[in-house]
Amino acid sequence: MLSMGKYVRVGSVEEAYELVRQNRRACVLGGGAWLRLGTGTIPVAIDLADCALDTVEPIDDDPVFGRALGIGAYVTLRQLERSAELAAATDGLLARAVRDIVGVQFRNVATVGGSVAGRFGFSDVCCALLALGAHAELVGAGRLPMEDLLARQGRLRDVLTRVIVPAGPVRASYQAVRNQSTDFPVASACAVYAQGGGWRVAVGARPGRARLVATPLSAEPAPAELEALADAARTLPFSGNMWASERYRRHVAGVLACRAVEDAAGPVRTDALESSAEARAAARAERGEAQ
Amino acid sequence: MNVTMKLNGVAVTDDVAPDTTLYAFLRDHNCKSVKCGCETTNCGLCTVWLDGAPVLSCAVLAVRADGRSVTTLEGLQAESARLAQCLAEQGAEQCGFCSPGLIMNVLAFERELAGRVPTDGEIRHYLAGNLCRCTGYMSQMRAVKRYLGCALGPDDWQGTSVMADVAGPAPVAPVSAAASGEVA
Repeated sequence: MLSMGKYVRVGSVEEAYELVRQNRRACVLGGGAWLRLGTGTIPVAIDLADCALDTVEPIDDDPVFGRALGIGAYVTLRQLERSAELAAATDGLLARAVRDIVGVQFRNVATVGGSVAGRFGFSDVCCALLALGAHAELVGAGRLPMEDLLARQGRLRDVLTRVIVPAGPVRASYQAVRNQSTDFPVASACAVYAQGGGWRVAVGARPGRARLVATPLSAEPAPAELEALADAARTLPFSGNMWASERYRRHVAGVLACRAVEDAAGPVRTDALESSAEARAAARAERGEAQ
Repeated sequence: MNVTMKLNGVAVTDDVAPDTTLYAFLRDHNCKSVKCGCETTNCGLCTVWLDGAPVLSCAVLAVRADGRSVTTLEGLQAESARLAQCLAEQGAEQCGFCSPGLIMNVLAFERELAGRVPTDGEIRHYLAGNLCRCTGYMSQMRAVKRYLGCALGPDDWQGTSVMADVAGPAPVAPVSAAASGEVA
């Protein structure tokens, strides 16, 4: 369990930034979902609960995206899952990406800011936001595309306030393999196709931070393009840990990247609220296979 | 630090250390239904409602509940009675340690459904964060489905209900393997 020296509930994000600058070991709290798995002492714990960062707001005049949605850093993963605006903007992607994270009670605690600022390699949220081409807004570092934020070395000493997601429309798919249904992913891939913007395919849980796969893809990719995508995904750095080996991850990442693109390119959307097991059973029944 | 919250409808004020979890605070305030079943923030046993939303109280700082409303099973005795009965009837309680967290989450789910009957997939998805080490979940699924008014399938044991106005089937005498003609 993490212990805390001093707890400060700040009135503004600028005040939080000042505290982070004054004390190298000061830490901005997210949802608190990993408090018990942490060790050591945070000398100054900064809480942004009074900074009104817990809503998803439409943005009409974003300088980069035009129409966009601003997701406050203290929006919970459950809010992300239930937001009709985000579902419309992301083809239901964010709900599918977070649906297997522990349970409803956990997702009511864990926040988007905690996931993004933590830049965890296993993060389903980071992988999906990277593929969506989202930007992060930080007091200090300013506005950064997700790929730049994830590529930054060292500890983040800025205060994340918002994640900005283009308002779409997109076609999107999130694919992950977990050893148990609510465990961390051992491999994940996310594909997003935007009219005019083309494909963005991200691979996460390598187990390092999510990375984009650089390979050209047409709107409806041919089998040869998908093979090239799988090969490109497998050239990313992978490693093994207690959940899966490096070799397994590398292979599965290629499969998932292709599956994500095929799923996003296809016209049929499975119901995001139904369990994936039921969707698979239905698909099997459709193909006339025995249950 | 001084925190004041409405705990099961009653205002409670106490002085807490900043790293006190809501779980520890509630146990210290005689809410013994709130239990800890893991060290990794994923078992669901410590589920309580924070402003009506189910949360893992072991992952919430007590200071964050300041000025908010917290509900534990102690505050839902009447509302939980029928679900508890369904769980008992379906053999869904064995050691019973996970039951308070499960009940809190099922009741939260029921409120979100607002009268709609959920699918099996929706139930499994909503309750995925409630771990049980004894039942294997089948009996819990039957109990929750019955409680939420879902149609029970041919594989769902219908059982007898003390709530139903009909008499249950006559007890069946146990049949030994030899008497039924089976060969071991």
